Amino acid sequence: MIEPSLVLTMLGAVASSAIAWTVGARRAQARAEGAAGEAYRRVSAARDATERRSRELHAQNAQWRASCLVTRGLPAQPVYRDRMAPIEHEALIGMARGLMLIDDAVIADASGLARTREIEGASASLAAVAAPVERLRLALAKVGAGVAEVHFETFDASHVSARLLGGRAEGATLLTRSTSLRANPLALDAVAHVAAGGVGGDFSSPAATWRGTTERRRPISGGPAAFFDDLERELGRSELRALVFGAQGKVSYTAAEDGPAESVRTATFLALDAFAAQAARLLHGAAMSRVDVVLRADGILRWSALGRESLALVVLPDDGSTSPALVERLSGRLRRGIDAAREGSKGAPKSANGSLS
Amino acid sequence: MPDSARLAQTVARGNPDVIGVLVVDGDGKVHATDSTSPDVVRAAVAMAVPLRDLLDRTTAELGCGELNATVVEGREASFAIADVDGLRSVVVIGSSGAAPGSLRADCLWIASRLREVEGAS
Repeated sequence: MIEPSLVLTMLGAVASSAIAWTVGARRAQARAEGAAGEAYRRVSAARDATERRSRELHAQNAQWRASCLVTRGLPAQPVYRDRMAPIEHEALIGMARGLMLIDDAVIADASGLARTREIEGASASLAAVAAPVERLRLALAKVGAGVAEVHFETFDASHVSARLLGGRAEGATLLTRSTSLRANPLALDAVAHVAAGGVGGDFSSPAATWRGTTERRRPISGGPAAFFDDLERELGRSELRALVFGAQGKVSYTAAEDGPAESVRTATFLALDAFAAQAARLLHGAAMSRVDVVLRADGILRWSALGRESLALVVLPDDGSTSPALVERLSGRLRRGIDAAREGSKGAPKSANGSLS
Repeated sequence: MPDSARLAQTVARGNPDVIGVLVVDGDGKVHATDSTSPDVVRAAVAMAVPLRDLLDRTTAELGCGELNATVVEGREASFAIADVDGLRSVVVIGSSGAAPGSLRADCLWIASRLREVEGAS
């Protein structure tokens, strides 16, 4: 028989243990809640400090931006929401004129009229080049290619770059002229980016008509066979997709390797030929030596004058970017080949159409 | 060949954007003309003097200073007029679809070349 006093003692021990455990648990809970509250307060304080710092930085940024705009004579808020104000054009052209090598710069619309002040006598002619650039853009758009920039060089080493602007400057062209050397394309990119107001450009690929055709055809009216063999050997190498050779608006030879269809090649050549003639006439200077059209999708169209004839190259990379140096080497090699063919054909009988002779 | 005629020829010949170029003075005397459309040029000669007079008065009244150049854009075609020496004007008449800017640039080029050539001689 268990003693009642023993039972009472055991019950008391159990009860005191339970009480002690409960008290300990509550203390632990209180400590944990206290720590959590402290952590929450710290996080809140840090968040508040960060938000305050962010607001300060935004305010400072707005202040700097406003002071930059005031320095340049620009309003703090855009005057026109969707297009650039005349004063913004002037500020933009100020940036372009400040770049190295640039002799003259102007922003013109598609009709060839300047939107900015013409600081030189030849500025009106430079602005007028925007009109043939627009014609070239429309002609190439018809065959599925978007134009980002047109650059050309004359035989008196004058370089003109025409950059089609986007965003709030849509429809305008930034034209720059430099002597001896081409202006830095990256610097002009930066100016064009400012003009666009951060609106992204269209970098879509050319239409399917620019790839997939392989045609190697001898000229109908003859010509030095070795020369055309050399030309065809280059096709497919160095991302060269197509060649067009002709004179005064007539194509005498064209070939492609996984390149554009014949109709596209011919249309491209004729558009480039017409552009070269129009731009040279407007500048009233030396004849055109070459024209480079940088496509919105990666690729370059190169037109080169070869005496009375001209040669157009279509360079489309499989991936990566097209190297201007590569196009330069390729163009130089073909030019040398054509010169050699001319020398070789001096003693030979003339071809039916007189090409290369 | 006089300089003005040679310059007019340089701009007009083989240029599909231009149908006529003329250099005319305030008395209506034509110093040079080159055109593929003589009727249009005859009309231009008749209109050039009153037009120049109107433009001179307008620029003066509006405080724009002396006339340098202007382009008149029609729905079909455009023409440009530029001052040479305060008396003579160059008029370049464009064919339909010609860019107004290119006509103005050609006009200014002829005027500036004339001033250079005649200033040097």
